[in-house]
Amino acid sequence: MIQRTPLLRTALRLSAGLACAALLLATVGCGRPFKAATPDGFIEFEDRYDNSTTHEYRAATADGVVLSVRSFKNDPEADMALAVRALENRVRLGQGYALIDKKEVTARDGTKGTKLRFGHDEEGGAHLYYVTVFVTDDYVYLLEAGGKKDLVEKADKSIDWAIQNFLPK
Amino acid sequence: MGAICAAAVLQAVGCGGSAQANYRSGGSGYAGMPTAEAAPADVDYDRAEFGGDSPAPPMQPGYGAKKAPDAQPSPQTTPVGAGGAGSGNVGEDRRAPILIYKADFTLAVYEVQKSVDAVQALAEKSGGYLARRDDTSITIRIPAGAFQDVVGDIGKLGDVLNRNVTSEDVTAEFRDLEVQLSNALAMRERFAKLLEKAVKVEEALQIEKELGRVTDEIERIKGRLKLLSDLASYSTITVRFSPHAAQQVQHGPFILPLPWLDNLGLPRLLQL
Repeated sequence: MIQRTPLLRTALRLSAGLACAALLLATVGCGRPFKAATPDGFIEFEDRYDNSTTHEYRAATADGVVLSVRSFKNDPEADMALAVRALENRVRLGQGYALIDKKEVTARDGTKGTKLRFGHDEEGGAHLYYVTVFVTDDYVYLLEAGGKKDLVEKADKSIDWAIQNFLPK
Repeated sequence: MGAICAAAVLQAVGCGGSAQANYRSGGSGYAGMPTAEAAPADVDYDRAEFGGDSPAPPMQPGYGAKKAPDAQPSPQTTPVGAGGAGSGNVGEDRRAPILIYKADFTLAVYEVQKSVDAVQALAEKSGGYLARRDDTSITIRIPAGAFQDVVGDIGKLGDVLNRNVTSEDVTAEFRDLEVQLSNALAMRERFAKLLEKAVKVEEALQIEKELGRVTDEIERIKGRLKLLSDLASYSTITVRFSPHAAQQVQHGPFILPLPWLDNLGLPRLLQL
């Protein structure tokens, strides 16, 4: 029988506190201001890309279609129209991507966003690159998806599902 | 003899204030030009000679049959010797402008080879032809009448980042060259006649020298006229697929300092 000394009791309390804290953090998504939804066929890389700035989420298929979600403080505050226009300009004019189309999308909590579909020839052939933006008072969320054109087209429904089930804070 | 030569040369190059326009079509001359005096009215304005000894561009229809783009005044361009032989109303058509249409496109880089193929197909469909093609650009020549349609169709092929359409009026240069050609041909004929009458060897050599010079001048003018005719009858469209380097983005004039606009694009996304 191990005798509980005051020192041991303190250590046990500390351990229990840390465990609770870890459980709480896991419950709220490791401090991310959003909850990403990982579609079937994708593997989530959990905290590997997370950082204190963007709380990045990443997931990918075995073939190389990658999903990413990043959050940014909406400061200076941008509205949806400006955000869409700025993204369009940066990717299209700045990086030479072709804007294929853009459409309104809705997140799981009803937040409206805009999905921009870009095409670009990279080494190895035509690629698709999607950027979906949600803007709230506090955050700008970027949901990116991309990969080789044929693979992304096959994953289109999964990507849409990830967008529809995305939950901003 | 030398004086005769000198006078003839002066007339031929139009230095005597009497630049001559001399056409077969009724001998009425081109509006705005002095009536022919130095050059005889029956100068053989040899259409077969002008433009007849060079192969026509592929699929080149009759020059006078071109329809101008709708946005431009219809250039009833029927330059003499440009393939409009037999036209009975050349004198009327001369008033119409001769325009060279050009268009340059920059398209976003996406499915480049497919787009280049599509541009080439558009050229062939419109009766034009491929002028140059490489991995990231294509230049086509299309009949001027199809210019606007093809420009519109190219705009639908992809995301147009930049479009530049120009028309250059070369009517004045064309008319000047025609006058110069007419006079030079008359001059050559006159020298030929003088050569037949030459008695002294020295005179014959001098005339032959002048004949050679005038012939060279005729060839130069014919070449330029042919080039202008070709450029006017076939518009040039160039489509480029040129991505902007990432460095240019950083130095561009409209970079919003928003952190969420940084690090966009496939290279970062696909780097796991």
